[in-house]
Formats: sequence, structure tokens, C-alpha cells
Amino acid sequence: MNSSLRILLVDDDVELAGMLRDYLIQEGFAATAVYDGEAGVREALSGHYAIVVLDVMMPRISGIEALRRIRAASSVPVLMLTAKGDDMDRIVGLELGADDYVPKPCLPRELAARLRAILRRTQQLGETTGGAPLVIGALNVLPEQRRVEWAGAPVDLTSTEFNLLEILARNAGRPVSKSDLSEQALGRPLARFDRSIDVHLSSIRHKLGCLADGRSCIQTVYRQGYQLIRE
Amino acid sequence: MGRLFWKFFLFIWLLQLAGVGGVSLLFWLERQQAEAQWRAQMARSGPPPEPLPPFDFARAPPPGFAGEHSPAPDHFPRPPPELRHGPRLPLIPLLTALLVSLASAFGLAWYFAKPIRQLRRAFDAAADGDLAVRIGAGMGGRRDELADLGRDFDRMTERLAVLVDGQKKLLHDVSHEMRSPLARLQAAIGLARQQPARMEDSLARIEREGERMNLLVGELLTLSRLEAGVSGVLENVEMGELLDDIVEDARFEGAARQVAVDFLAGEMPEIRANAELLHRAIENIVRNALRYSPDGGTVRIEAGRQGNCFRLAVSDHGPGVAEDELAAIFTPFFRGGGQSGGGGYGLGLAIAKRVVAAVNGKIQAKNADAGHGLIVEIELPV
Repeated sequence: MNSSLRILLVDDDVELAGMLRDYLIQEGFAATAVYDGEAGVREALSGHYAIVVLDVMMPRISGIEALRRIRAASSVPVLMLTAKGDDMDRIVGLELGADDYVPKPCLPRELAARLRAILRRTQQLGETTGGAPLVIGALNVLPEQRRVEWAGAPVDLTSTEFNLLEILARNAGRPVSKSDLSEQALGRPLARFDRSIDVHLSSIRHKLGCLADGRSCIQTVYRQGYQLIRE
Repeated sequence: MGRLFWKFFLFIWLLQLAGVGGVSLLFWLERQQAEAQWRAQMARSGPPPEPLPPFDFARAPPPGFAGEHSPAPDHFPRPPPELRHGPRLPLIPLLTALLVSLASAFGLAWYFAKPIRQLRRAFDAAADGDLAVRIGAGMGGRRDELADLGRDFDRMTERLAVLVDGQKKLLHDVSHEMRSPLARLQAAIGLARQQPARMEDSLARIEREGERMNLLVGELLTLSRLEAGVSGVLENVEMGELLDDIVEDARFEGAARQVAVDFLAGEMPEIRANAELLHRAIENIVRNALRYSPDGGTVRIEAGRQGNCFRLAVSDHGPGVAEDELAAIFTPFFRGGGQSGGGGYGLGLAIAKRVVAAVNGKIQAKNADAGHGLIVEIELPV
């Protein structure tokens, strides 16, 4: 089976993970399930998987801790399953570099659609939109290699963060609305009260350096969205 | 300054004024009489005698005015000789009395009203949901009924805070716990849509999840009834019969995984309790032991009368529980560090604990001395 569709499911609920695996296999993914955080981290770091689905509520090693360990060594895309209404987990997860989240319980159809969206944009964005490097001030975006450099030094971004920055870079000097960012980078419409985009952009700001005047190169434009400053 | 303060103040002050006025009147009358006598005497005998010495303010405070609150101008000084006819109002002493009584009334009223005002503020805060409010410190070194009231209030808020937190946690846990069967339900529905050929399989799963949710809700209701103090009708329960029943069920259940159930029965007394709840409590403990036993293991049940109590111990050869979590296994939805034992919701032991407590019994858990395994012990008064 196509290795680009290899999915790792990490959930302590053996039955649920089994059913989701069956469903995803039927949908054409190559899904594997493991049932605790330790095994999840080990498998995720093996490099065999295109994406990891991580349940937040797990005994021993929680999903958040597992995510921390995965992100310490790898930028493999991670989709979190978070409890509905638990905004803290969601925000912490995104801050730690999760690519997106799906509230649990969710319909398997929704999960599959979300997985496809993430896989599509991590694997195809660079090819379809042209690979010429984008240089904006000290920022250098290399879509073909999915790499970013700031003042010559490489910046370590997750794949969602890269997508967001690439979109901002292509529109440098113009504000991009949050709903456009959500559609293009997350592959889904912006939900009401959804802070994902803000959290992702805040962590991009932290990873990039500042401009000469001390401001961040990504500015919030009131009621319009975000803008990468062109210099 | 609230109304209470002004009420106290006015009451105490008026009382003091009345006291001062009354005593002054008495003295004045006495003096009038003495003077009248003196005049009469003078009229009868020729030469006037020595006049009465002027009254000494400092030396002889009249009775009833000795306290610090009212060094009162309670008498008329003897008028100077040239003005002896027609007594006059002693302005300065009266004014002093007025001021002193004002001050003392103010002080007393403040002394009473202040702790009450503090209490009121604390009640207000508690009513607005702030259960962290405490008044103990605000009472200073006071040791009286009002200070006791403050301490009682503190105890009340402390207890309420613990209870409310417990309820919040329970609600949170319940919603989390409902989520797992719901997630499986949705996954099963997704599978049914995707693979109509396996419809029967998916429907069975959906049915099973529905049943699980039903069980969870049932257990929650039992738990909440027990917590509300509803412990059912008490009757004399024949422990031998009850345990035989449970052991038989456990053997049947364990047979599927070759788990043996050893039952060592001693003298079996009758116990006054609700049969259904006691049955469920002991069944929960035994089931728990079965669940955590490895395949082919043994669950050991010892029961019998010891002195004037009935003792039951259920031990398994499972993984046991970390020492610092032994007490916590009786709280709702507790899950040990390991994975969920499958099937259970973590309510069984919580229910058992409340049932046992309802009949004034004791329940505790400890790890087996030799190697692995958990022992849950119950003591019930006979």
C-alpha cells in the first residue's frame, strides 16, 4: 500500500482504536493502532508513518506528553483527538506543535476527511504552488524542501506552521484573513471561536526572529487577519 | 456602620443617660431634704452651725457609677454659700457624663457590631460562590460566642468547598466516561455505513455500547442515592446464603478464563443491612478481583465471624496497586496507573465503600505481602 497513507493510531481504548483502524483501512489508508503513549512515541519516531493520530486522554503517558516527546525529535504531522469542551488540552496541544485536532467523540468520516486534508497539504502544497524560494527580508521560504531559514539559519517548523508561513509569504505585504488561512493551511473552514490559527501563528512568531525595530515580522491586522511584513 | 451598630449605640447610650439622670435626681432630692432639715433646724436654734463641707467629687463616687463607663456628675455640688438658695444645673459634670457615656456607648456598640459585620461580609462572599473566604483571622484574639460562630462558619465553608469540588470532579469524570462509549458508538455507526456487509456485527457493537452506557448510568444513580444517604430497607441478611450466591456467579464468570475461586467460609452470622446493596458491594469487590486476575489465576475469598464483627477478605494475584494509591481506589472513576481493566467504570469499589459505610462497617485495601496481588477487606458489625 502507498506508504504516504500510513497512519498511526494511538488510543488506549482498544475497541475504539480497532474500529477506527478498520474504518480507515477500508477508506484506503494503511492504519496501525497502538494502545499506550510509550508505544505511540516509539512508533511515531520510527519514521514509518505519514501522520499520527493521538488521543489526549491516556493513562501513564498522556497524549500531551507523548506529543512533547514526538516533537522533541520529529516533525511528523500529528492530529490530536481531544475531549469536546476541553480547550486547555487543545491549546496546549497546538502550542506543542500538533497540526490540528478533532474533538472526540467524532464520526469516523470526519476523522478520515481531516486526515486527508493534512496529508494533502503536507505532501502536495509545495508541488502545486511552485517551488521557487520566497525571500522576504531575512525570511527565506523554500517550498520544494519545505524548509524555512531566518537570517540564514534554519527554523524548525511543524508542517502546519510551514503551510501557514508559506501562505503568508506568498501574500507578503497584504493581510490574509483567518478563514482563508484555515481553508488553505488546515484544509477546513474556520470554526467559530476556533483559536487554532492564532496559536499556530503565535508559535511561528516565537520561532522566527524579530525585525530591526524589535517588532515581529508577522503582524495582526485588526479584523482582517495576519500579514507578513515586506521589507 | 450598619443599622445594628446604631441600634446598639443608641440603646446603650440612652440607657446610660437614663441611669445618670435617675441617680442624679435621687441625689438632688436627698440634698433638698437635707437642706430643708438644716433650714428648719437653723430656724429653731439660734446661731447657725458650721455649714456642710463642700462635697468632694474625687473621693466619693456614688454607688452605681464606679465603672469606667460613667464617672458621672451624679450629684449637685454643694452650692457656694452666697448662692445656696435655689440650686443650679452643674453644667460641667453633666457635660462630662454626656461625653463619657457617648464614648462608652460607641465603644460597646462597635465591639458587638464589628464581628457581626465581618460575618455578614463572609456570608455575602460565600453566597456569591466564594468558598475560600475565612473569618478566623479577622476575629483576632476574641474568645466568645461570636468568635465561635466565626470558627463554625469557617468549618462550614471548608466542608462545603470539599463537597462542591468533589461534585465538580464527579461531573467532569462522568462526562469523560460517557465519551468513551459514545466514541465507540459513533465509530460503529461509521463502520455500519461504510461496510453494509458487516451490518450485523456493527449493530451488535452498537447494542453493546448502548448497554454499557445504561450500566454506567445505573451505577451512577446508585452511587448518588447512596451519597444522599438513601440506603434502602434494612433486613437481617444471611451472609452464608449471600456469599454462596456470589461465589457461584464468580466461579461461572472465572471459568471462561480459568480463574479459580477459593471460598473459605467460617461461622456465618446474620447482618442487618440492605440485602441488594450488600450483595452488590461484595459482588463488585469479587468482580474487581476477577478482572485483575491473570488467566489461570486464583481469587481467594475468606469470610467469617471474628468476635462481634463479620470479616471478609478478597485477594487476587493481579498486579496490585501502588501503595500511595491504595486509599484512592475507592473514589469514583479511579483508574490505577495501568490501563483500564476493561468493562469496568471505576464505580464498583466506590459503591462498595458507601454501602459498607452505610452499615457502619469498614473497608480497606492492601497489597499482598508476598509478591503481587491486592487484598480488599471488609468488616461489618454483627
